[in-house]
Amino acid sequence: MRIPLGILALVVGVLGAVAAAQQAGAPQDQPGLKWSDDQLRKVAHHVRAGRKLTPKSWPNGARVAVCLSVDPDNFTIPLNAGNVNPIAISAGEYGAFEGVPRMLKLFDKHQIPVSFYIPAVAAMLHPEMIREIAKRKHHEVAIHGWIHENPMELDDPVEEWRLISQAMDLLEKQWGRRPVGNRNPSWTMSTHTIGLLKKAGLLYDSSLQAMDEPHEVLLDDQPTGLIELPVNWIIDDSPMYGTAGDFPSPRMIMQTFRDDFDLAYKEGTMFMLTMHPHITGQRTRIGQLEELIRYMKSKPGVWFATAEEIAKWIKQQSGMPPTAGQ
Amino acid sequence: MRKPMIAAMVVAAALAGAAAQQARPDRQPGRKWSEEQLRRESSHVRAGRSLNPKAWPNGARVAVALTFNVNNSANQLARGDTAVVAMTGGEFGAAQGLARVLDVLDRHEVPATFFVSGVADLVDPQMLPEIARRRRHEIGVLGWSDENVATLDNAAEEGRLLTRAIDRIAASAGRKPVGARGPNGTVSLHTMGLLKKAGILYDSSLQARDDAYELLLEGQASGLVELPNNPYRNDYRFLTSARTGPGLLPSPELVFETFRDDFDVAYEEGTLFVLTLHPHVAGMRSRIPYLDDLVHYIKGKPGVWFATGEQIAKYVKQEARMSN
Repeated sequence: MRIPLGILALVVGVLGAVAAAQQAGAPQDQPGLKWSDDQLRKVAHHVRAGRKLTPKSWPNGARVAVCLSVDPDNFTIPLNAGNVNPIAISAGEYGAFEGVPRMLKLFDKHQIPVSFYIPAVAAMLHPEMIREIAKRKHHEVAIHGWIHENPMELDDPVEEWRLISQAMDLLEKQWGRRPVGNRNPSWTMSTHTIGLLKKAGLLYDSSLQAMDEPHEVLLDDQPTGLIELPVNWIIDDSPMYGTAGDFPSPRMIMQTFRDDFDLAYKEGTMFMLTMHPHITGQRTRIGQLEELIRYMKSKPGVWFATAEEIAKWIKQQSGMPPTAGQ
Repeated sequence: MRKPMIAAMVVAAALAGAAAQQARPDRQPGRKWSEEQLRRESSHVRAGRSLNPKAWPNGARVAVALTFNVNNSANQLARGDTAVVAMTGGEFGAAQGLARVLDVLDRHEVPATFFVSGVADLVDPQMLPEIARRRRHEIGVLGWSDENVATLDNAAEEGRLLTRAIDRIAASAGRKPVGARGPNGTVSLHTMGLLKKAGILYDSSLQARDDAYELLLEGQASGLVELPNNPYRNDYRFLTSARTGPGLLPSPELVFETFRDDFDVAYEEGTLFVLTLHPHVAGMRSRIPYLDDLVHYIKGKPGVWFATGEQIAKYVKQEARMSN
């Protein structure tokens, strides 16, 4: 059989390119359909929810724990991507200039402690944010990546550890305390992340979504001692009414958040709301947040707390061993 | 603008290096930048000091700028899209929308600012004389053909289009524009330098604050006033037009309720309310009554100064003793 040399070269070339693409981790069409039972279990069980950690009761017999959490990303997302267009920069900087001050004023008014997850570069370029947060004494500062990087896309444990370590150091320097909590940027994690958070000696994470209530994170089916205070895209302002949001009606969105709180209250677990100063700190949205706070405050037995306070309470109640580095 | 070019070359070189190493482009170059690079790259165009005055004219509490982007079918033409029916969706702005908007403004006797694309004026030259003859409105520039200047990223070409637009609008409106808004919701790293060169007083494209502020170019005070725009105070993404189908929240009632909430906080904080609407979107029958209601509501409050962008920019500049 004679195969023309040109066609042979072409075939070899194409096969080589396909192999290279596979090696480089290019997405393939439904590769999981070919995985064995063991492979399927291994991938699905890599990071998973362990035992529930909702305590018998919250402090002072409260019925529900409420954590209002704020991610001041400012313009770190475009900056990390190398996008320095003035509109992208200005839209993010709104968070530092208008959003954070307006939200802090509202939390002052209602005397509510809050957790701030701050990309280190956002803190570097707007150090007044942490100064203002720290001045209040009752808020928490925790890590949210170095520059809101996407660790899943990096898939590089050395680089990911460098960014986590730098972020911890910078926030510690600005806040005066070493952070004990993490929220991963864009809620993406690599397969290395949970191990690195353990290595960093963190008390809790707040990026996973397997439950509504607090639980322990399992890594390859082993308990990690890391507490998960779960988040969810549907109680996050960004996909709902951010600039790329699907349903930009502040009133209707806050109604949904309230419905979510109502069930948390009924079930006696926790309510973790995720907000961004450049979104919920907007004049069109801040009034609706105040309405939600008023509503929650009108109920008896609501414990407003930082994620750190919640995680520490859970840890003490559950008799978990102390976290390394704590 | 040499620095961005050098920076771009450095980034490109870094990208090329990373690509050679990993056979995949690094889409997150910023994570490797030094503190100095991060500061420089985020400071090409940046918000300077707030220019919110101690008081607005006659002791008013808040300044209100109703602004309209008159782009009609200009962007479709920039893209070379000749689709006939789509073209009429933009034409609606000239044929019906603008007259309805002007009618609301006449009834309430309030001034407004119209940012006009050169091509919108070329296609429908009857619009600008209609606006100008009211004598209380301002006409600003919205690029030549509602072009995306960010993807264009070409200082010479952007400058050519801006000059062409300013010249055309000056001829049609009888006065050279002093206010500019980035066409198609975009600006480039060249835009603010070009506006300064063109002698523009203020821009209304950026979003760093709710109140007026001074623009810094490469860290230096530019003399340019920014009257911030904001996608949450803009009808486009919520309501859009028949041209591209309904927007994300095609309920005029819910949308204008949000605009009113925004005004309420501006009033409470004593700053500035800049609303951005489009005649071919807000000028539709199902929407125009809500504009009428909003203006009525705002007028019902004491201490509101309705003004053009130009009047506001001149006032804040003078109060802040800002130099050119």
